[in-house]
Amino acid sequence: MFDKFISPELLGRMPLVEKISASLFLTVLGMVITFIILAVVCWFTILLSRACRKKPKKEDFATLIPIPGPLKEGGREDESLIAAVISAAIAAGRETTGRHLRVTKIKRTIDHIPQWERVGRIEQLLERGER
Amino acid sequence: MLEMIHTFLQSMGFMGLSGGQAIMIGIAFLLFYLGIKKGFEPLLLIPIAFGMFLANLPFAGMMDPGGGSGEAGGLLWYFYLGNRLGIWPPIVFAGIGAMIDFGPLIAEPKSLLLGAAAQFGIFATFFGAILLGFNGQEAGAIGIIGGASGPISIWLANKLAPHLLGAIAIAAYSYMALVPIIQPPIMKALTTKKERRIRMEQLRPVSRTEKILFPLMVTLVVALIVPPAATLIGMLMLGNLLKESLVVERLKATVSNALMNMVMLFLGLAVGACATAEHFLTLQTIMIIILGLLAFAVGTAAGVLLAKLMNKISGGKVNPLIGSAGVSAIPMSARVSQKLGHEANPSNFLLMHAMGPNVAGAIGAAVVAGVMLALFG
Repeated sequence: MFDKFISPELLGRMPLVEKISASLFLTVLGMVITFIILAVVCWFTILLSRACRKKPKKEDFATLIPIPGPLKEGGREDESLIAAVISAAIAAGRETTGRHLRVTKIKRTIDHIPQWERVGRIEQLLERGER
Repeated sequence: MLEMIHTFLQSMGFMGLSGGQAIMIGIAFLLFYLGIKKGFEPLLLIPIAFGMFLANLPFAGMMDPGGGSGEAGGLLWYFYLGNRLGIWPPIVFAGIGAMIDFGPLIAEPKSLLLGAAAQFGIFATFFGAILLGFNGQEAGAIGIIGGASGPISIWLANKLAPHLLGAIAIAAYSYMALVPIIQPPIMKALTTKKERRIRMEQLRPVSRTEKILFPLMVTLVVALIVPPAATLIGMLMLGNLLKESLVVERLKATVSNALMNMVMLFLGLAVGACATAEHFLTLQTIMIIILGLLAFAVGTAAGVLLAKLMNKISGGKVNPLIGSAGVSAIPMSARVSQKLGHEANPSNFLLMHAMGPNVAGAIGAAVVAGVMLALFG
């Protein structure tokens, strides 16, 4: 059958019904082969992920950063500024003022947001900015 | 003296300019307009248009193959040899691999099935091309336009139907640029607003080990099942391994920037140079353009329909819009999914979910190219 499909003369001589049925067969065959190959890759990817995934240590999820006494300025990420922003956000959320709120500790968590989500958010922010 | 002037006048390009060449130069100028003014794939459209422009200039001999006795041929002929020998497209694929993040695909391996479904456009177009009178090799080369990957289209067209290379490459790149116009009406027609509003769960983080092992595993599995796909998959995964290993930053930077840009220039010029009047201005070209559109449309529809099915099976956890991203065209089709999802629900972030099927589409298209080559090569 493949010989007939490669040669224009042989293909031209094929009756229309046979041509349609043969090309439909090739279409289905091609799709089935493609699905099988990608399903195999999918299965191997799942196996690979299972093999690579290890139980994460507690410290991977969150690291407690105690903030003793007054916060120092000019830290690695200017922590006093971050603390101020978080306090302001909590105060705004609770509809109260900073006077009624005391932040004793801040728990820093590792950012698990995938890069694509970050890109999506940035794009959305930029779009809003353009409007 | 008069004879010299006469000889000179006869050697001028004006004297040899045929109607077909004039039309081809007009098409080249249209492509310049689309690339420069409209911004449609300018990195490729401009070299392709310039190659077309140069190859259709009479007496310039840019595509002369040269003599057998060491006589030099035209410059574009040597660029074309890089295509004919199958060198440029795999190098471009390595560059693409060095820019792709397979993380979303590794986090959600089921995306590979969406990448497979979108390849239905290729086989549906193959079927259509056979009915229109193309032989198996030509139909396979035309169908691969639906893979929405320029390098794959060029690579396979060179192997199966080199005489159709110009039309196939131009159709492939034109439709890739038109993805934001072709896909949305099909996606909207096949989905309800409720489905488009579905928010998908955040993907898990993927470890570096997984990202390093994934390209090696895919190369091994695919090359063992479909050996003809080894060239494309191998180069795609080589580029990705350079990126993910994090130890060969210079090689990764070269492959994804300087080398890829250089090769894309040569590849574009060579593709354009194939579009000479006698090869391009035919009924076959019109049919290829129509079939190419069919390939994109059917691929998009198949991806969305499978995603709808996955949504039903998963109990409403899959937004069907991500299915269309299985039509490779990285990253345009993923952006289209993000845009439509965002329109339906402003708090929806589908981009990372759509990148899974999107990169799966690149793997799928390379696999289908290998299958076509195994069947008709």
